[in-house]
Amino acid sequence: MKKISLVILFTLSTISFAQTNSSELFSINDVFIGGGSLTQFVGKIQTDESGSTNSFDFLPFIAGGAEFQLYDAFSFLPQLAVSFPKSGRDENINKLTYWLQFPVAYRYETFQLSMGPGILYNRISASGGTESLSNGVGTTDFPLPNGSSISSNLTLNLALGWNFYQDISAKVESWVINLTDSESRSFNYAISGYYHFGEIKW
Amino acid sequence: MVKFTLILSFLMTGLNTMAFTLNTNFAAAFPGEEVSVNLATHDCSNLPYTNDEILSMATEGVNKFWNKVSTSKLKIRRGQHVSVSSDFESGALCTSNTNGCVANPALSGQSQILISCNSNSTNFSSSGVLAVTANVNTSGVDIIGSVILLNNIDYSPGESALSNLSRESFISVLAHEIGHAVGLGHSPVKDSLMYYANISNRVSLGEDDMDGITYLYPREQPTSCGSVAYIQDDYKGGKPIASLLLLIGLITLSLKTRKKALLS
Repeated sequence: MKKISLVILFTLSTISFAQTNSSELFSINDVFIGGGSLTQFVGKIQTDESGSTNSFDFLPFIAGGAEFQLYDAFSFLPQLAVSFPKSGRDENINKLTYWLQFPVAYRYETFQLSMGPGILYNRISASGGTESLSNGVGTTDFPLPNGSSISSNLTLNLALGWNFYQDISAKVESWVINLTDSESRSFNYAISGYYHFGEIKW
Repeated sequence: MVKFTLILSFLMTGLNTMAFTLNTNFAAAFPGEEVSVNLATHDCSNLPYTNDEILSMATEGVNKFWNKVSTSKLKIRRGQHVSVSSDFESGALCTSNTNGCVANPALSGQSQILISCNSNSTNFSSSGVLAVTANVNTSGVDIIGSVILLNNIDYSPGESALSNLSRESFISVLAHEIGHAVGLGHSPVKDSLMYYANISNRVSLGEDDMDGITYLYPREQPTSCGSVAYIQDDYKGGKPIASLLLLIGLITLSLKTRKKALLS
């Protein structure tokens, strides 16, 4: 995680930015960095004995990206985000979520609507051992996983950003996971805020 | 920077997730993406359902729970009624339980998942044990076959331990056992399907269940990066860094394009 933060900081520090509007194809209109909270698989996870399901989870993440001019008010908005790792209740299970998005955005005044594909990774890892758990009539030592596993899902993302104060914006976004598989289709959403460095000058 | 580091440390240590467990210490799982659930044809005389209803409820259970996980590639499908030996009706599931279940050789030739009603009291030490499951046929880290035995012992005239359950609870019990059949152990958390006891308001999987099935059967869209790897061989953080490099590459490409345009 430190390495990623350092690389992001290094990358951003080697170039300077200023707030101007450019209309050249594929010129960089903006570079931004921020963070927010992600809720995964809304309504699909039971959270208590009474049958409630998840509606909001606090999973903080950091994100960064750049805005490339396409045509008129349209731009290409690639982004990368990494969540903070979660450690298990017994410190045996670790989870990390990260994702890439490649949406096309349309800007209208201070609002920006974006839509496009993305890929979501969920990494689960543990370092082995056993856990003694009830089996109804006694206890059994169940093995804990020893290794890591990464799942990857294609997503369709829809987001609305609002540049509400100078270089700062807020964004609400929703992703459809497994769009074509009605059995396992699910939704994520994220709320985030960003600082915009503006157009790159060199 | 110090404040940032403190906040980061708090967030990294303050968040918890649930812990799932496995059935085997080598993370055994079915090798394919699709597994069938079959039902033995012999009569489940003490259960209030016909064999076909039981198979339908097992299908309902996997569709309600396991097949809904977005991050798992596993799809569990309805199989068929299969004729098996009487050992599945009256035999013991394990010949020894000292260090895990050593499968009864008479039951170990199965492939896929087989549900069978069974009346052997060795399998069910009390009426509280509703069903037992074992991965009876494994090869390396692959599960070839698992057997689920439903408690069909007659505790009161014409009734088994499963008779008093509601239909929804019966479905949850079947789905729980299918969870064992595909390689999962118990969860310590009550809201998980893999908790050892049944709860009345079971509507979906818990986080533990989803993590467990995802760990064993990670979905791989669109690349083949979803395999289980032992931790010592795992390149931690490789994908985020690769993704970051991709983003930096895009920015660099754009800078070069712009520079050329200015020079020309």
